[in-house]
Amino acid sequence: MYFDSIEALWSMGGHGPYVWLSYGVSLLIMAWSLLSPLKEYRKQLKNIEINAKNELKQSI
Amino acid sequence: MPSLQWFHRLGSPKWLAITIDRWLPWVLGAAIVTLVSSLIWGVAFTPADYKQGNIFRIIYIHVPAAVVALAAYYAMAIAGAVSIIWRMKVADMALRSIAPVGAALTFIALFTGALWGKPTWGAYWVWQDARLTSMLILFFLYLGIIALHDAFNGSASGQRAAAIMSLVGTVNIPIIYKSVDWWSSLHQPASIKFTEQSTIALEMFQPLMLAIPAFYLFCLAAVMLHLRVQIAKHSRKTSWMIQRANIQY
Repeated sequence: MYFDSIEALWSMGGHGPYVWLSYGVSLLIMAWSLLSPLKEYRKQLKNIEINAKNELKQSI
Repeated sequence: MPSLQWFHRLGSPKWLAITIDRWLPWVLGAAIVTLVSSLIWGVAFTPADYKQGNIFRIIYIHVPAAVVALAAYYAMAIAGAVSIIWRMKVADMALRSIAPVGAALTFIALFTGALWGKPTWGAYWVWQDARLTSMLILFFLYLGIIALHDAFNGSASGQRAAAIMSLVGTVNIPIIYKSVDWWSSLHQPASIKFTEQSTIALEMFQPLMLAIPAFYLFCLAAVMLHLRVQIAKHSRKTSWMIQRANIQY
């Protein structure tokens, strides 16, 4: 590691808040970009499944 | 014509859904592995910049996010053109799938840039700077395309309007690239050059060379996930999609 200690890595010579906030927010947005379509896909499949079952009931 | 077979296949939502199923785990896995390793490398194992200190470590998110946000715009505009010319449904789905990912990446570039600017320039945002302003326009273009597309409840006119807007917005892309050369700007010019010596130290350059493909892979994975949603919405009445819902849900 380039830094001498975890504290040095955390503070980054005073730039810590800027660097860590950048990384934190960016990774959160990226995680959300993957998880939100995943959730939406499950929702869509569920709706398709429910609709198909309803139509099957009506036809009987 | 057999040479155009791939084009017809690409136009089939069913074929696309099956292809995404096959590739998604690999693309997603590769994206996460390269992303985590390049960012850890950049944040903890790279020497500090002699002038900027540790704040330069933001580069490993800022530059890849900006590069891929621009590349995604190209891809989206091409999808928009195909959607207008051939009325290809899958092209419209691609446009709608790329837009939110591009918007997220542009926001990341803007946000990290602001945090980089504060200790370096003394300000989070400078309106006089052409690079910053043109990137902000890119962000609004992405949001505008999503809004237009969804405003007409996914009807053909909304899709057409969004595709036209994506084509018109390409004017902004060369402006973003050239803004640092055309106007005097606080934003530094590119450090990585293809035609001449790059002005960045090799030790700092290496993690960036991993981070850029990592962001491309992330973008591809996110677009694939969005595409799956679009396909499910579009093909919800088809027997093969009902069968998929039956198996996957």
